[in-house]
Amino acid sequence: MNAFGARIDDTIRNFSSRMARQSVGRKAAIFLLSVLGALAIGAVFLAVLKVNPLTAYYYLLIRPFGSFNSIGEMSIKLVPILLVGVGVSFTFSAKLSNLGGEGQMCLGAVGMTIVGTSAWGAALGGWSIPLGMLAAALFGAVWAGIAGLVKTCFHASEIITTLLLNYIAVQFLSYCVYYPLRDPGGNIPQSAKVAAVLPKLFSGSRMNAGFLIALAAVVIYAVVIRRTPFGYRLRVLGGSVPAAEYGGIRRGKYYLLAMMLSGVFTGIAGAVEVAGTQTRLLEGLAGSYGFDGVVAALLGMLHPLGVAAASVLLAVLSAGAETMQVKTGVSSLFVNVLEALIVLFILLGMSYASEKKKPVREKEGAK
Amino acid sequence: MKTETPLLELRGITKTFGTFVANDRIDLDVRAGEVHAVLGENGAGKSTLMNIIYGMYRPDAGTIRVNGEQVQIASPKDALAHKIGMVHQHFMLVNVFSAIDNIFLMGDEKPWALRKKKKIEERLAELQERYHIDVDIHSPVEQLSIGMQQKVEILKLLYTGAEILIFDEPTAVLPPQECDSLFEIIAGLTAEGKGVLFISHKLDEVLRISDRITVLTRGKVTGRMDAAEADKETIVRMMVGEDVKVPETDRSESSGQNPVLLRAEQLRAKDNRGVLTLDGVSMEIRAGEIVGVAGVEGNGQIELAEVLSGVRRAAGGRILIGEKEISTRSAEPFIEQKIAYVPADRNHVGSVPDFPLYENWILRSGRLPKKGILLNYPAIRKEAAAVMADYDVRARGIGDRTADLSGGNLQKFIMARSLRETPRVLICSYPTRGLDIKATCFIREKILEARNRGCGIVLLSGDFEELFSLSDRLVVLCRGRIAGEVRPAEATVRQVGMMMMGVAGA
Repeated sequence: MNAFGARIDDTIRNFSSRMARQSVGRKAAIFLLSVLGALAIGAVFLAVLKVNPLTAYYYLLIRPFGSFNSIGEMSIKLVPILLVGVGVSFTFSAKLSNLGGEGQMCLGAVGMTIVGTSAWGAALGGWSIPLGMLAAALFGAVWAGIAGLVKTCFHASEIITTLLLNYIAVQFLSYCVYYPLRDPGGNIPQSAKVAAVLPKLFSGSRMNAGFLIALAAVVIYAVVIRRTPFGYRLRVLGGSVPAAEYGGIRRGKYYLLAMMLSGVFTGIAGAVEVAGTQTRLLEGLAGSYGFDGVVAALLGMLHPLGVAAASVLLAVLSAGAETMQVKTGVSSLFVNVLEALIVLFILLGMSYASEKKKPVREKEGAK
Repeated sequence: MKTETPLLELRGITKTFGTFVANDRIDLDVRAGEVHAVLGENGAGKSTLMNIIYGMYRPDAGTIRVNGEQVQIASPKDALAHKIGMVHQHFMLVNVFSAIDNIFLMGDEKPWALRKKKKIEERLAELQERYHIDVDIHSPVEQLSIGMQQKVEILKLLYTGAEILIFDEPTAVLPPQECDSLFEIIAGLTAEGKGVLFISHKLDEVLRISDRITVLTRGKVTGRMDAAEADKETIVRMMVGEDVKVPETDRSESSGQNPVLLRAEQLRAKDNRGVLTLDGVSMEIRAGEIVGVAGVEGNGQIELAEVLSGVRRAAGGRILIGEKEISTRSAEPFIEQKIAYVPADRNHVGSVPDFPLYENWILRSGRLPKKGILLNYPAIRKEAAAVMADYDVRARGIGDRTADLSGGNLQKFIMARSLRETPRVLICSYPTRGLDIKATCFIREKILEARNRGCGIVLLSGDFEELFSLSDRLVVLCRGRIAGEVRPAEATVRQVGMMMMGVAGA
C-alpha cells in the first residue's frame, strides 16, 4: 500500500518540480490523498469481511507488478484506458464531455478490421497497421464529430449524444462481426485475423507496441494542450466561455474540433485493441474502457501525468481484481467500490481546494 | 401614520472594501405600508447596502433596528428571523421542484413532516388570494417564465412571514410586459401593511411605484424626498450632483478632421434576454478622439460596446472598419483589425480566472508569440513580466492565478494587454468601476496617452466626472437610441443627465 503510494508520489513529484506550477503540486496531493483515503475506507469493508486488508491490497495492487508477465497483462489493460483517457481529456479541457469513448472505440476497431482483413490489407503486410490506424482515427473522429456537430448546430447536450451514440456503435460492431466482417471460415461471430499484429515488445509478456502508441499519445496531448495555440484556445473555452468570445475563439468550431480530435485517440484505442490484443474483431471488445478512460481523465485532473497515473491505477485495479478474488475470496467487484470512493474523494478534494483559494473579494463594493 | 416606529431603520451604515468606501454613513428607514425606493447608478453602493441588511456583509459602523429594536444580522437566516426577505436577481429556487416543494424546502418544517405539504398548499392558496399572486404552484419551477419564478420567490418570502421585502433590481431580469404585474403585486403588499425596499436605477418605475425615494451616489445619500413631490429633474440633479468638478485635460480640438477608423451604421442588438436594447445607433470614431457614451444602465450601451468589439452579434446594421464591412459573427476579424476591448467584467470576460497571468496575457491577441507551431512561452512570460513591472501590476509573480488579483491590478493588466498591439480603436467599458483613486487615475492616463498616439477610443462610463474630463465628444443613449450628442466643454452635466433620463427639452 505504501509502496504503491510512494511510487505515484515519486513519479508526480519528479515531474511536478519541473513544471514549477503550484497548482500541479496541489493536484498531485489531492490525487494521492484520495487514493489513500479510498484504500483506508476500503480496508474497513475488508475487515468486515474478515479479510486482512494488507493481504487483499497486496494481491490487488502489488502483485500486478510482481512479474514480467503480470506487468504485461496490466499494460494490456492500461493502453486502451490511457488512449481513451487522453482523448477525452481534450474535450474536458474545453469543458465538453465525451462519454462516447466506447462507441468511438468500436468504430475505430471496425476501421482497423476493415483494413486488416481486406485483400489489399493482406497485400500490404506490416504496412496495413499504420493504414488501419489511420482508418480507425478517421472513423473515431467522424463518430465523435457527429456529437460535436449536433452540439455546434443545435446546442444538443454532448453528454446525451455521445452516450446514445455508444449504443448505436455497439450494435454496429455486432452487425459487422455477424455479417460483413465475419470470418468466412469460422462459425462464431468474429472477424478473421487481421493481416498484421502489433509487435510484442518483450518475449514472455503480452505487452505490445500499443504501449508505445499510448505513451506517444500522452506526449502529444501534453504538447498540444499546453504549448499550441489550439490547445490554448480549448483551455480558454474551458475556463470561461465569455472570455473565449472576447478572445475571438469561435465556440462551435472549437467544440467540433475538440470532439473530433478526441475521437482520433479513442478510435486508435479501438484499433490497438484489435491489432494488438485480440488480433481480430469481437463483440464487446470496447468493454468498459470508454468509461474507465473518462474516470482516468477526471482522476488525473486533465494533467498529462495525472491522466497517465490514474490510468495505471485503474489498470492495476482491473488486473489485480481477479488475483485478489482467487486468493482472498473478496469479489472482484470490490474494485468498483474503490474506484467510486476515489472519485468521491477527488471531488471532495477539488471542492475543498477551490473554496480555499477564493480570496475575500476586497473590491467592487457594489457589483 | 408617519410617526409610528419604522419596520426597518438603518443609522450611519458604513462599509469599506480596502480603500474603497462602498457605503458612507447611510441612514434609511422603511415603514409599514410603503414602498421606499433606493435609486442609484451601478456602483453607487445599493447592492452593498442590501447585502448588509440581508446579512451577507457586516457593516463597519452603524446600527440596524427592526421594529425599534437594535439587531445584529449576521446571516440571511438572521434576516429571515427578523422578517426581512429578499427577492434576489438570481432566484434561489430549485428548478426541478414545484413552488410547493421549494417552499417546503425553505425551512421551518421538519424533514419528516411530509403531511405538512397539504397545509402549505392551503396556506399558499390563502396568500395567493390575499396578495393577488397568480402563479402555478404545482409545476416545476423551470417550466415557469422568469416573471412567474419571481412570483414564486415572493410567495416563498410571504410564507415565511416576511414583513419587509427587499427587491433587488427586480425588473432587470423581466421582459417589459411582465413588469406591470410585478408592480401590481408590490402595491398589494403595501396595501396589506408590508414594507417594501425597492432597489433600482430606472427612474420611471421608481416614480411610478414608490412612496419615498432615497438617492445614493458613490456610497452616500445625496437626496431624500417623497415621490409625490419628486420630479425627474430634481432626481437627476441629485443623482449627478450639481457641481461635478471637471479636471482640465487637454482635448484634441482638431480630431474632427482625422480619418474615420470605425463606423457603425444603424446598429441593432439584443441583450441576453433577447430584448432589443440597441435600436439603430449610428456613430463614427475618428483617430485621436475619445467618444464618451453616457446612458443609464440597460439603455443599450453595453450591447453597443459588445457589438463594436465583435463580442456580440448585431441584429441589424453594419460595422465598417476603414472602408471594409466586418461580420459581427465572431470577434476574430475585429482582433485582426486591432480593435481592442476592455470589458466591464474583467473577471470572467476580460480574463480566464483560473489561468496564471502569463496565459491571460495572450487572450484576444492578434499576434501570438510563436516558435514554429508552438507558443513561445518564454517570450510570453518575459513580455508579461516586463509589462507588469511597467504598469505596476502587483502580484507575487506572473504565475499567479488571475482570480487572485485585486480589481485595480487586474484592470491595469488588461489595459496593458489591450494596448500591447497598438490598437486602432480601443473600447473601454466602465474601465474604472470599483477601482480606488490611484488605479483610476492610472487607467485614465493610459486612455489619454493612447488617444494622443492616434488611437480612436470609445469610453463607456457611469461616472460623469470621467466622461466629461476625458471625452472629446459625448454621445448620450436612451432606450437604445442616440438621445443627443454634446461637446463636454459646451455642455453641463445636468443637460446630459436629462437626455439620459429621456426628459425632453434638455
